[in-house]
Amino acid sequence: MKLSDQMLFGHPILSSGSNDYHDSLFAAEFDINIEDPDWLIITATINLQCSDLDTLLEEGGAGCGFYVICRETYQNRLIEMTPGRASHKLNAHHFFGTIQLRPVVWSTESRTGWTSKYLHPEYGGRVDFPAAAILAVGDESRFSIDRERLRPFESIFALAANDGLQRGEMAVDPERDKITIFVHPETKDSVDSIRNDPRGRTVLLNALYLPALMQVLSEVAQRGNTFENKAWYRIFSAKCGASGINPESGELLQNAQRLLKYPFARIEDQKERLFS
Amino acid sequence: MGMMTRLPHLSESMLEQLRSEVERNIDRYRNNGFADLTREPGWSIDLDINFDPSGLEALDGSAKGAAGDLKNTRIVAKVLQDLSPSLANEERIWVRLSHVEGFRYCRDRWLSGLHDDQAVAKAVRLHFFARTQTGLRDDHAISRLWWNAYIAKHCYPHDADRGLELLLTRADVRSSLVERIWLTGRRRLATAVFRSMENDAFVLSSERSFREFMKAINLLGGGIVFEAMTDVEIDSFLARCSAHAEAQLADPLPSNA
Repeated sequence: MKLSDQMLFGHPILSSGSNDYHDSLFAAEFDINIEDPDWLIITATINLQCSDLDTLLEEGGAGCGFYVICRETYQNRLIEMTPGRASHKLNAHHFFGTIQLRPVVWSTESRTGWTSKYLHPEYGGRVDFPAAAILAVGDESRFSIDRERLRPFESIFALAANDGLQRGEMAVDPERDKITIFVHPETKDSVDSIRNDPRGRTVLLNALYLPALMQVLSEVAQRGNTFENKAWYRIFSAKCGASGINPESGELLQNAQRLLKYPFARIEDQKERLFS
Repeated sequence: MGMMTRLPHLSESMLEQLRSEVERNIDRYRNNGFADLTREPGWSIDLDINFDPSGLEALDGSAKGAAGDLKNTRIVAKVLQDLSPSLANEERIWVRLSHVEGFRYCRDRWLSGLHDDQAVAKAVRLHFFARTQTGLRDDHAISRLWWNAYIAKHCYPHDADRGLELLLTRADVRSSLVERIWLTGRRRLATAVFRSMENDAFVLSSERSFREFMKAINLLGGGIVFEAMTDVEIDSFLARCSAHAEAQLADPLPSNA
C-alpha cells in the first residue's frame, strides 16, 4: 500500500506511467523554502489537464492535494489544495533529511458508471471506483533539508586578529561573508581558549556577540538591505523573521537581546558554575 | 528534581574522535565514563533546549526486556520532552548523553556481563553511537527509548502512555510498527491500528496473528487514501483486514498473499 509507480488498481489511474487516460496530464512542481529555521514552506503548483476529472473535483466527488513524507521523523501527511499554485507552512522541527512529495487526486465517494471521453478504449468509456481511491498520481519529488539546524547564531560571525587594536578593544566589519569581529591578537587567543567551554560561550555571548550584533543592527538600520548579497544576511534575516523582528527598526538593544535569546539569562542560569 | 540546564551536544570532531577511540577508551566504558571531560573543548555545545540532566540518573540499567524498556522510556520521554523529532536525528546529542548524563544506565544495560574487550567494543559501537536511522531508532541505548515515546505519542496522541504499552507489548509488535513508516507515519491509520490492538483480541493474540494482520493491511490497503476516510470507515477496513488475517491462519494451505 505504499504509493509507488508500480501500483495496480481495478480502476483507471491518470499518471505518467499508465495509459489509462489519453490526452491528459497530472503533474506537480514544488518549491521548498527553509530560510526560516522554524518553518518549512512548500509552494506547490499542481497541473491537472483532464476536464472530466476537473469536473468531478468541482462537483465534490474528488479531492486533490499532495503527500508530504519524511521517513526520518515519521511524517506522512496529505495536504489538500485545488489544482493551481498554493503555499503551505509546516513546522520545520517535524522534518529532517529527505522529504518526499507526491501529488494525488482521490475519490470522495464511490461512483458506478462514471464516464470520461479521455479513458482508454478498453474501459468502454465508463468505470466504477470506490470512495477514498486514488484517481490520479503524479511523479514524486524529493528534497533534502538543510542539516544545519544546530548552527548557533554565532556561526554568522567570524573572529580575526588585528594588531591595530589595543588589548580588549573590538571592531566589527559586516562587509565580508561572515560578520567579522576584530580583536587584538592576544585577545583573540584568550577568546579562542574560552569559546569551547559552555561557560566561556555564555560570557562571549554577552561581552562580544551582543555588542557586535547591536553594531550590525545599527548598520542595517542605516543602510537597509544593501547587505543582501552577503552570506551572513540570509541567516540573519531568517532569524529576524523567526523572531518577528524588523531588523531596520533601529531598536538595537531590544532586537539584539531577542535575537540572542536574552543572553544575560544564561549568566543567571549558570552563575553557580561561573563564579564558584 | 534537579537544576534545569541547556541540552548539550558534541562537536562533529569530538564525535569522530570518540568513534575512532572506542578500543582505547575501553576502561572508561567499563568503569566511570567520561563525565570528567565535559569541560574539554568539543564536549559541551549548548542547544536552545532546557532539560534536567539529573533526570537520566533515574534510568534503571538492571531492568531489561519490555517491562524495563517501558519504565525507562517513560523517564526519557519526560526528561527530553522538549526535543523535536528533527533534532532527535542528531547523533551528536545522543552520543553526548550516552557518554555522560546517561552513562551509568547505558553501561549497566548493555555492557554488564561482557568480559572480553572485543565484545565490549562491539556493544559500545552499537549502543553508544547512532550513525543511521535504524541505529537511532533501534540500537542507541537512550535514543531508542525516546523514539518509542515519540512513535507512541504520534500514533496514539489521546493516550500516549497506553500507546506506549501497546507498542512495547512484544518485540515483534514494536519492530513491525517502527519499520512500517508508510503506515505509522499516516496518523489516522496508525491510530486506528492501535485501536484494533486495543479492541480486537485476535490482533495481538500471537506473533503470527499480528504479522498476518499487518500483511492484510498492506494487501487490501493499496491505493486507499485513508486521510479521506472517517474513523468509522478506517475501523471497518481494519476489521476486514483482521478477518482476512484470521482466515489465512485458519487455512491449512495458506496462500502467499
